[in-house]
Amino acid sequence: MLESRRALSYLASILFLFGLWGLLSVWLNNPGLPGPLVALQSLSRAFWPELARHLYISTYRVLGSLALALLLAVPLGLLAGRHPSLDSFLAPLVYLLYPVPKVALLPVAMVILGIGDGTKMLVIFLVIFNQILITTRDAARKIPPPLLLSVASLGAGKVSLYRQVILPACLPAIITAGRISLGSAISVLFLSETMAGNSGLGYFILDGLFRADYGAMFAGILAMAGMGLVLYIFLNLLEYLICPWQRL
Amino acid sequence: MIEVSDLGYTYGTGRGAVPALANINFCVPAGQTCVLIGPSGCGKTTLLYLLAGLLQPVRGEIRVGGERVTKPRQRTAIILQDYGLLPWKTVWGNAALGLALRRFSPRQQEERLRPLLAGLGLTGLEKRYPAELSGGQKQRVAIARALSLEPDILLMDEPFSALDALTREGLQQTLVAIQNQRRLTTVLVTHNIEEAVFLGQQIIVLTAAPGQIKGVLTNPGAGSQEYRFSGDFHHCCTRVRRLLQ
Ligand SMILES: Nc1ncnc2c1ncn2[C@@H]1O[C@H](COP(=O)(O)OP(=O)(O)OP(=O)(O)O)[C@@H](O)[C@H]1O
Ligand SMILES: [Mg+2]
Repeated sequence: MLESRRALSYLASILFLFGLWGLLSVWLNNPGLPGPLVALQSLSRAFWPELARHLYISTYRVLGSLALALLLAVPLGLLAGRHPSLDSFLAPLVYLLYPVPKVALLPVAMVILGIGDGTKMLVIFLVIFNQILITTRDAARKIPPPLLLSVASLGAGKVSLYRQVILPACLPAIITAGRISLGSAISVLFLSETMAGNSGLGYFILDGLFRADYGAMFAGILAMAGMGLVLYIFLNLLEYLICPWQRL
Repeated sequence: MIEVSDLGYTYGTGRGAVPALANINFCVPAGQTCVLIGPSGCGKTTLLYLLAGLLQPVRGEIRVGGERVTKPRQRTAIILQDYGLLPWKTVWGNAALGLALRRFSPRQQEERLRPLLAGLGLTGLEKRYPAELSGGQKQRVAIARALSLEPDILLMDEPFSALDALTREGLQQTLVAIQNQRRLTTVLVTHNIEEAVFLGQQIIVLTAAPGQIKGVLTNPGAGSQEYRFSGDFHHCCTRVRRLLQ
C-alpha cells in the first residue's frame, strides 16, 4: 500500500518533469532542445551497441572512483575522528585544499597520465575524497563516549570497537556522503570526458553536438541521467540493506 | 568485595582541570548492594567508570577481591543509563555482544542467552531493534547483556531513572531477585531517594563537586518488598534526604 503510493508519487514527478521539459521545448522552438517524446524516440533509434559501450565506460569510471574514494577516505576519516593527533595533522591540509578546484588539475593529470581512464578517475577521486573524509570524520567525532565505554567494558579491544561501534555509528553518514559525492562525480566525469578522449557518455554527447545530431546528443544526455538515477537508487538500496535500524 | 581507598579523580590537567572526586573511602562486602546518591555533577558516573576500570584513578586505588583494578575486569559488568544498547544491533545482537566479543560460539551464546532472556520476559523480542522497545524493555536487555557474562560485580548508572513508577518498581524487584540468586556485589547510582533506600544495604551520600563522602548509612532491611511499607523505610528516607540537603 505504502510502496505503491510511493511508486505513484515518483511516477507523478517524472511526468511533471517531462511536462515541464515539453513546455520549455515548445516555447523555445529550437532544434537544440527537442521535446521529450522526440528525445525518447531518438533514444530508441540511437545506435544501441555504441551507446551501451559508452554507458558502460562512464559507469565504471564513476563507480570505480567512488569505490576507491570510499575505500581510502572512510578508514582515514574514522581514524581522524577518533584520534585528535591524526586530525590535527589532517585538518589543516583538508582545509587548505578544500577550496582549490580539483578539476583544474585535469590538464596536469592528462599530461602525466594521458587521456585514458586513469586521468578521469583520478580527478573524480580528488574531488570527492575530501567530502567523504570530512563527513566520516565528523560522524566519528560525534559518537557519544558512553557508547564506546559500555562496549569496552564488555571486553572489546580497539579493533572490535571500530567494527562494532565506530563504523556502524558512521555508516549512515558515509552513505549520505556517497550520495552527495555521486552528483559531483558525474559532473566531473562529464567534464573530463568532453575534454579529452573518445569514450564515455560525455564524449558521446559532445560528438552528437558537433555532428548536429541532436537526437544522439539527447540520447546521451538521457543515458547519463538514467545512469545517475540508477546509481542513486543503488546507494539507497545499499543503505536499506546495511542500515536496517535506520528504517525505523 | 570492593575496597576503595583515598580515591581521587580530576578531568584534564593544568588550568582546565576539573576535580571530580576527592578522598573517597568505602568498602562493599561481597554480595551486598551499595547505592551512590548525590547532587548532579558530583562525580557518581565518574566513580562508576573508575570502579569498572574504564578510567584510572589520579589518586588512591580500587581493589576488587584484593586485586588492584587497572583495566576493565572480566567479571565486572556495567550498565550505563542512556547508551547501554547499540542502536544498530537487535535485541539478540545486543544481548550477545559480550559473549561474541569473548568468542563464545553461536551455540554457547544460545545456551546462555535463551534462559536469561526468558527470565527477563524478553522472549519474542529478539529480532527487534532498541528503537522498537519500551524503556523498561531496553533496560532488561541491558541487564541480560550484563548478566550473560556471569559477573560477580554489577555497576549500574541510574538504570531506572527514565522509567515510570510502576515499571521502575517492577525492575527494582527483578534486580533484587537476580542479586539474591547470583550473589552479585552491586554498586548502583540513583537520584531517587526511595530507590536508594529500597535497594541499598549501604547508602553513600556524596557532596557537591568535587564529590566527597558526606555520609554512609547502613540499611539492612533493603531488598524486601515489605520493607517499602515499613516505618524504618520512611525513617531511612528522611535521613538520606537530610544528608542531601
Ligand atoms: N569528560 C569529561 N571532561 C571534563 N569534565 C568532565 C568529564 N566528564 C565529567 N566531567 C565533570 O566531572 C564532574 C563529575 O561528572 P559526573 O558525570 O561523574 O557527575 P554525576 O554525578 O554522574 O552527575 P549526574 O548526576 O548529572 O549524572 C562534573 O563536574 C562534570 O562536569
Ligand atoms: Mg551521571
